[in-house]
Amino acid sequence: MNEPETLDLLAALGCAIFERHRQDEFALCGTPPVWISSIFDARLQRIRMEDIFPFLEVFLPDAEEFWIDPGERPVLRSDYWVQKDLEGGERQFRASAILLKRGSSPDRKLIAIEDAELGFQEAQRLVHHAHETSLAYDKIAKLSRALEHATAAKSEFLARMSHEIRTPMNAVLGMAELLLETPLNAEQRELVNVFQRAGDNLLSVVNDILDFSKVEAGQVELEHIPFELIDVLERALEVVAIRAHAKDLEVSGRIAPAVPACLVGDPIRLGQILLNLLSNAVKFISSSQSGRQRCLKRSGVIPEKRTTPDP
Amino acid sequence: MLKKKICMVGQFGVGKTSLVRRFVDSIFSDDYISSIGVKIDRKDVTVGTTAVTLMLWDLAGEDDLKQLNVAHLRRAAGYILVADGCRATTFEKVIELQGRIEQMLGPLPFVIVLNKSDLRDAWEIEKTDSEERGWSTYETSAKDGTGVEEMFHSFAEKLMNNGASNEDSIE
Repeated sequence: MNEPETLDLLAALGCAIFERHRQDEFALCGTPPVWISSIFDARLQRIRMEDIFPFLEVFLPDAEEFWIDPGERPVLRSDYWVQKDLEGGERQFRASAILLKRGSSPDRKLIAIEDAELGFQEAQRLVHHAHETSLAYDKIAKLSRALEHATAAKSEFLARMSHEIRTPMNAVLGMAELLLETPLNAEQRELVNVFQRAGDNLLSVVNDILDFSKVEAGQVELEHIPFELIDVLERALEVVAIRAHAKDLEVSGRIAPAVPACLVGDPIRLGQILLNLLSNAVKFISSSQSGRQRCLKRSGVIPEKRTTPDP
Repeated sequence: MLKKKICMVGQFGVGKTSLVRRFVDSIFSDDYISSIGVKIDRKDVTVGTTAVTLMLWDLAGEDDLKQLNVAHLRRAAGYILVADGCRATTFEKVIELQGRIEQMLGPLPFVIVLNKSDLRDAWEIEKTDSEERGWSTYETSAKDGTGVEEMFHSFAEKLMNNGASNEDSIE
């Protein structure tokens, strides 16, 4: 492409073209774009570029290097910049340093300034999207940390409260036990039995809360000890038997012959699981429904087997 | 008139553009618009009896994809490092940027600005975190204007007192 064609092309692209004559001295060349009049008086013959486009004070040193040795680069482009026009409106620009080789004649050193509004807005949208995503991620991470702290505080509170309640509760239950060993008439004995049972229930509620807070805090450690399955089952059955009988239900346990009598694991947790299942069973089965049987298999899975059809 | 170039530097979203807009145009918008490249504003102030034009270069906030172009601080009389008081990471960025700028351009006057003082309940940064490094530190709110004018004026004063060692220019 020859020299006039290059200048015409740049002008057609809406660029203002300035030619460097001396260090710090440029002149507008070719046909100036319409927007130039909103930035400066285009009739000026010789100008200091930095006075009109302040951003160029950081770009021109790079442009000077480029004009001396462009290497393989056809053009050197600047970052976008925003400045106010003569009426106070914001304008977006981008500059390019160009070296026009002219054989034996001296090369022409040009700065093309483009009105970069469209490219600027497109780049801004992309960057903005990335920033908003990043800010949202920060906000979520912060909320997540706050939630973790709140959960930990709640678990700690529950653990402390459970402990604070359990200590006097144990004293009350211990005293009830000692009281039962003293001579009491039948009525007194029944009254002591009632508050001992109530105390036991309360203690088990408190223990459940403590377990819950331990589960939330990830502090539950399972035992790995040998135990008799029959003992665990019987204890669970004993607890639900009263409520079952009140609903005219009968509960019984049957351990399949293939299940070993002695198992290794956590008898307390297994007892809690059985008690939970049995309690729900008693709660939700009406007296008209027949019972269901659960089989314990070696695999530890407890599938449900219906012994009689539902009515 | 005497000119002083001041660069606004910091992580994206800390309020650099809003601080300049508050100082130059006395306005604030809640809409966050990311800056790209450089935005240049000018503001005439009087320091003592001397009129001076502050050329405020608002440099695009640094993010994971684009680093600050330190070359944009060439010929600056000083720079303002901005952090968002609500985000501790933005102060870490201030520390990092200060080190990088000083390494590349040598010692230049600067101040630290902890912005968004209108959201103080959510702040994660203490002013003392910055002051104990010996850094002159201001708390501002571009939103309600608190401290903005004072900060720019104090810094302009500091630059004027710093004398001719800066890159001054006279129009």
